[in-house]
Amino acid sequence: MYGWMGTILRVNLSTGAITKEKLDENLARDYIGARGLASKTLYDELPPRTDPFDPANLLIFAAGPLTGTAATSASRYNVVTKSPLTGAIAASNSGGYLPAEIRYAGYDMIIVEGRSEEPVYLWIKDDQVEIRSAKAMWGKGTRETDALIRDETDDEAKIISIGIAGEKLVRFAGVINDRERAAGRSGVGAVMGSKNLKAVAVRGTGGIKIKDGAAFREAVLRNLAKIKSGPVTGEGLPTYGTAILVNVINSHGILPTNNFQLGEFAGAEAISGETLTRDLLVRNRGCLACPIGCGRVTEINWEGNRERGEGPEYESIWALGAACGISDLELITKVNFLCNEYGMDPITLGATVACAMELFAEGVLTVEETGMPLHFGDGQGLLELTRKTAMREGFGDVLAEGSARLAEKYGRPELSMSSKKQEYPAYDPRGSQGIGLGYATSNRGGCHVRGYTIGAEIVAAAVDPLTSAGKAKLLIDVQDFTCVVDSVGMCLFTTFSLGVDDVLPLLNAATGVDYTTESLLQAGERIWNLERLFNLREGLGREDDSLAPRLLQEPLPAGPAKGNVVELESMLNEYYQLRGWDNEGRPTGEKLQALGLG
Amino acid sequence: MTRQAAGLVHLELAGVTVADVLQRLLASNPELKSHLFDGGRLRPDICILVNGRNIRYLDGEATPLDDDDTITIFRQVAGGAP
Repeated sequence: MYGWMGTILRVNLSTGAITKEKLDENLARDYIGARGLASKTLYDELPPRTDPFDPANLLIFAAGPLTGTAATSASRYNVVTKSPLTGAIAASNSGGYLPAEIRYAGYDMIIVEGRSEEPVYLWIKDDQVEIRSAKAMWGKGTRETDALIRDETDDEAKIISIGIAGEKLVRFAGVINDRERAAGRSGVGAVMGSKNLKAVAVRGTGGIKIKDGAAFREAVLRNLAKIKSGPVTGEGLPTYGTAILVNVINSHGILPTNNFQLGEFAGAEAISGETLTRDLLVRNRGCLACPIGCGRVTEINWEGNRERGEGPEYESIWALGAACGISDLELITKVNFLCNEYGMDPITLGATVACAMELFAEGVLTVEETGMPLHFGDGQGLLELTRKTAMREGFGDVLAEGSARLAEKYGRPELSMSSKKQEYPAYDPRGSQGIGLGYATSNRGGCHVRGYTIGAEIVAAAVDPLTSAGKAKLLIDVQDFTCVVDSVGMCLFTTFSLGVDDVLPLLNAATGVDYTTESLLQAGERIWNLERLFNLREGLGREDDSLAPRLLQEPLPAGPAKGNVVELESMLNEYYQLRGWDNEGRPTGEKLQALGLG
Repeated sequence: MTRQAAGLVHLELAGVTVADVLQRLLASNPELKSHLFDGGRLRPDICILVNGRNIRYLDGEATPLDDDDTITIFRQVAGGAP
């Protein structure tokens, strides 16, 4: 095959069986790779209603047909499984160098099934695959694990690992690759921990076969020029990283503050990208073949020591900052470093602590439960609870379940700012209607990267953020295209400068498949619908395509979006209609037939 | 970006409309002209907010101003985390 490596590696940790399977060409064409192909595998192989921590759950590491090629910013892979946080499909995305290494070793996907009796790691060196003991790494952080495994294998190996949070089955544990890059959301690291799989180490020395080298090169250079000349990809992200959004979003009055009670944060300037660049930035860091280089290497003074790491990104700054009313950027950065070390999603952590802070303010939680006072703005409290959550110690054991289970446990479920039990990211949808519909319909629960309408509503200001008209169509277009981008293995950031007609020639030249604009977007639509079918089979439905009551019933109290709530019902009805779904959100037979899913 | 070019964060300027304020801004900071305008027209990648609302959805540069209104100017250089 061209573009695709043509081989799937399957490892059963219960039996120790290691097998290699041929990739089906028709499936590859229809589901592209990465998110799409792995979701198809999960849908076909996972028995319905399987508990996410059951050994039968699959954990799939999947790259796309452009991952590791010279295509600009094509350095991504997806980690796909059934989520222990949401009960829905999880597809968590990360970049770096590891994703390409999977392909250079000869594989499009690594499927892990079963559960090992003892802690283990996988060592993959091209076609040689071993299951090795990870007893020496169990209990260690992700950085130390990375170093120990490279010592045991190959210093050039690229590592995926979990930290303490994954071992302890924190429901929002992520996996870390390349020491600092995270497939952070939906608890994929907890599934890895449930399998006693501490790490996957990969060293690949092969290449990727491209069907039409000249056409591919031409498309790469054309896209590279667009990326470099685009204001976001050529200037904004390289210069300031994602944190530049703090002031922009706060200016629009939609930086959620104190658990979404407010849309403006008085401490925004102190936690802004400009402040981070001035005070903490050491240098930029990019993923493989990426000219954007949005990663931030930062350094802080902490208890007399200089500590260096990566981040925090915009979403983490918000969750650990404004969401909790905290404006100490060094402390936020320290907590972000800890999240990487423990392998824990900082968005859900911050949002869960914010929920606990509101429960405390309401008098629902007391010091008796929490072990400490827990007020908005309490950075030291956040720091202490970060460690306790990762370790599942004391009140941290409750926080480790996420905000939906926390709020439910104390009889105030409406105070969890989540959809499908996954916490929202850093945009108050009362002032950006499209992202509200996006949170509600996201197949993996509250999330901004399934359908980033913020690009059109705020960044480019192409549509009025306060109106709901036209947002269903906008969101569907973004969701379907995002499925394509995630599945070919490119970074979502490229979409600030590239469209489907820029991805198309790359994919066709690499694979030799004659996709058209329509068939490629239809593949994206097929993937979205397949994820939907997975969730429907798991028992999710229209009632789960909802938002926290606050966003529907409590108008924003101040700022540009003052007085607004999310107009969800009308947008959702239109969304279902445009998707070709019935009133309960089920794809019609006609739609399934058209997508080849019937 | 504009903040960087101007070397300042906050300014107080008088004006009846956004256009008036922009004129006064450029009078005191002429180096900003190329950042904000292209051939006499506001560059398409410049966002101007009045109290957090983009002027594209108000009356553009003719948007009227009241005392204590806040104008925010930035370029479309921002993007969230993937």
